[in-house]
Amino acid sequence: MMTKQDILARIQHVLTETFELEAASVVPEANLFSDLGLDSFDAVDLAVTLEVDTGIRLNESEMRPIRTVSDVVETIHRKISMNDAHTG
Amino acid sequence: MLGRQWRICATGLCFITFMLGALLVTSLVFPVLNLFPLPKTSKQRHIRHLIYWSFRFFMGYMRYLGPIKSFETHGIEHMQNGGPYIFIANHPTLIDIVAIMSCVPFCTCIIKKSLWDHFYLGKVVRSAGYIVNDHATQLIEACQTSFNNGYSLVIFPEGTRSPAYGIHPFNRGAAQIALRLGIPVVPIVITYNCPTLMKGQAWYEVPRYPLRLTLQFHPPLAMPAERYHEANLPRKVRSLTRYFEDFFREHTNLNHDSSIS
Repeated sequence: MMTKQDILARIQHVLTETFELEAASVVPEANLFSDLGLDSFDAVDLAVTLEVDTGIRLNESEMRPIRTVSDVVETIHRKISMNDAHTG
Repeated sequence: MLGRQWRICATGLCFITFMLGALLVTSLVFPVLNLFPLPKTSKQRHIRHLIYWSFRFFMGYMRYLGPIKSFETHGIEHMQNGGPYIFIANHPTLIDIVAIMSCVPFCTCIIKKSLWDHFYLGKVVRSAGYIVNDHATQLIEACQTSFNNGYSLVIFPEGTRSPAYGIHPFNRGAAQIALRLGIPVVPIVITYNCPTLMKGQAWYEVPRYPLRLTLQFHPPLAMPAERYHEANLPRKVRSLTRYFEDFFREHTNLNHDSSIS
């Protein structure tokens, strides 16, 4: 199972490769919008890219409250744990 | 040349006229329009047409009273085949949207939430069926519907009024919509003789000289091939946004007319 650290590493990879951000700026407490300059279209694209990467699909209602990088990590981690609980 | 004192009064009068016009539309035209059992889209079409003619009138009215010395448009022939287009423009003055919408009969714009909920003008923009700046998914759906109905879209990519003789960095909204929906982007470069009705400028701080406003419609921008080969949509969007911004930086500088007559 992916740890929070693994998830964070993937998000950092996506944000630097796809969204042209500096690796150093993508820290857990960074706000996706005010610090990293994403817009709401980017948030949708981020969810799509992460789905390919992690197999976890975040829908719009799950994306809405997300503000920081660590919010994304937590939300994905929670979903993975839930899926594991269901299947395992 | 008309004196500055007169232009202060005339500018005030223009503001009052604008607000009274909106009152007239909401208190008289809307109730009359509501008497007819028309579908919502057809009502919106009538209201947009009314806004187009009102803005045409208003541009003439401002020239007649004096705050505007001249209003020129060039290159409108570039969009004779109908569109729909995404028009992107720099935003030097408060009246840019009035100037643009007075040239293009069938267009819509994205309204910021504060204007959408405005106690007074909000009713006009909601009844016209303009698009509210909402979450990406809803915004794209609203834009798609609007393009399907043949309406072009006006966007000020700076997201706010431009600084004097320059532009702010561009937001990515125009490129996001253009790339997702495959709509050609037509730049409108707005030039002027002296900064007028900028953000933070009070209405009575009229410039030393009456405003000379020029709208240059350029041919639709074709995305340069090398930018199209970016690996994914977010990168394409960023690349296209830089392309738009460079275009405006280049053209607002070249065309900047600080000569005073």
